[in-house]
Amino acid sequence: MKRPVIELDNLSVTFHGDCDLRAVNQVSLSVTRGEVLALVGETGCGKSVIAHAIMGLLPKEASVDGSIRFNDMELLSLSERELADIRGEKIAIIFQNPSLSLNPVYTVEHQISESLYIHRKTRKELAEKCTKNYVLKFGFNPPETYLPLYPSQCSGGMNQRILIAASTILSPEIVIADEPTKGLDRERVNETGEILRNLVSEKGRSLILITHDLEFARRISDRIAIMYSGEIVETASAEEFFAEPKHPYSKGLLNSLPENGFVPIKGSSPSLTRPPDGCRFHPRCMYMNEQCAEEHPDLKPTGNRKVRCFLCH
Amino acid sequence: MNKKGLPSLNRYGIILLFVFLCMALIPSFFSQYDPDERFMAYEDPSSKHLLGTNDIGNDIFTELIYGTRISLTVGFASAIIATFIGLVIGLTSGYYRGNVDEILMGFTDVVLMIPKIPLIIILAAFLRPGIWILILVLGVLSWESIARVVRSKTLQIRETGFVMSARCMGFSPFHIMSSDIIPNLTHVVAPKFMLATAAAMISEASLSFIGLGDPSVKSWGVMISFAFTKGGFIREMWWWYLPPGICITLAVISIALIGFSFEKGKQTVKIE
Repeated sequence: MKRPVIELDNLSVTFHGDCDLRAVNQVSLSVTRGEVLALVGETGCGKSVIAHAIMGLLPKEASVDGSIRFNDMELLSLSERELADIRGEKIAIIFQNPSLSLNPVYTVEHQISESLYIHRKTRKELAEKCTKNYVLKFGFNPPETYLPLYPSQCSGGMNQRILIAASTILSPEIVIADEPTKGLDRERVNETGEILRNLVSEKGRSLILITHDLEFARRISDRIAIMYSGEIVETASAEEFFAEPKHPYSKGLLNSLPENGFVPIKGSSPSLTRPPDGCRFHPRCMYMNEQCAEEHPDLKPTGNRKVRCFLCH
Repeated sequence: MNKKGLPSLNRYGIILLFVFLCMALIPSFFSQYDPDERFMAYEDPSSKHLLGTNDIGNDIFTELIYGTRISLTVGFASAIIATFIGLVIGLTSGYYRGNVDEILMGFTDVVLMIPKIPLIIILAAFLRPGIWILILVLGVLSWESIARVVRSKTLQIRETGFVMSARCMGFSPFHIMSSDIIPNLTHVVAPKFMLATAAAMISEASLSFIGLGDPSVKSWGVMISFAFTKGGFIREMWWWYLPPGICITLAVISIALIGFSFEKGKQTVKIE
């Protein structure tokens, strides 16, 4: 088995406030080289919190337990300064809402080449050449027409590609894409998917894709992890998962897709401040029995996958 | 709004300020005499001396022209000092938040409470009157409101996506502040800078008028002060004391107009 590039072990994130909120509960994940892992779940289930925890972007009010190992480094024990060297250079993140993630006062060229100047101390001519060659891959042809533009002059899809280019120009080992397709139309989604896929296959990078777009996840991911209420409920290879989801929540998710009949999951997701006892999904589960309401199921391997459900063990 | 998208008031402000700047930069173009040249004292306005002469026979029009440089220098130099201090303090406290913010904003509150003019009077009484000391004191005492505005704007901008992604690209806090946040602050800092300039010019004039300015450097305020003490008012020589007053007013109005148009003309950063 290949060695994982990044490995989360029992990661828990709690936000302290008037009442403590456990946004991520005991999540263990690993991504190997060249792999695309899709982290899927509904809004507020803690997907983005995981991404922020990896990048060390969580506010002071959050306490993080467990470990995040990147190659042989423990990211959680690094100082802000050491993290700054890793961010962008080794691990990159692509945020949702590209138009707001670009600085309105700089040109596209400046924003893409900025990390070259900062991290690599590249000379101007070289950086310009590098940027030009790099944006060609993102469909900006000829580069001279697009590079002097400002983000406000570009469309949402263009901004998304610019943002991806800006975060990946240093060829980081891991790219985290936090809902990269949010607010884009089908055409742009396909385009973004293709670009992300190319990024991975080209240099053996790994990609963590955070999304709630199942169709998108199916097309580009190798492995899929379903999150519900701060926990991972099922991990499987994308192929197996879409062929036959095991966890009732995963089944519900797939049934709610338009092509599968648009059947919504009843109820709404539980509050994270007071999660239900037992299995967190049991109030909404069709197959629920007494055990589910009392005991909390573990994420156990069944076949090639891992499922957090008593019915599947 | 005119074609260039600038509010029309702005144009008059710019034209006025441009005239004053020309007067400050090339005074010899406007007046034929040297400010130290002496003629008959207390002369009435004539074609030779547009605004007459003063008690020691200097041409008042020449004095007025040469005074522009001093008054504008005091205004802009102290505004630069104030803006710099305000920007550094506001940025630091807005970006780092937490205890740094508490301490810096507490300090700002303390400075905000100090009555400016009385303090300057006391300082001027103890320090040797000099134009650079005046600039320094005015600058060091008028940064608080700039710091506050910068802080609140920084708090807003630091939460935007592009600051977040800049952090994710591994840029240092200094780099983020100087190249991501400051450029987005210009539309709040620019009007503040202009207003600070205007306020400093007025403070300078009032201090000079009560005799706490530098008498060896003839600014507009010093001119009025001399007109007052050397008999300009008694002799009803309005051409001595009125023109510097009008100049101060016009200069302040022009700068304030430009400042206001900055405020009106710009949009705020969109936050989500």
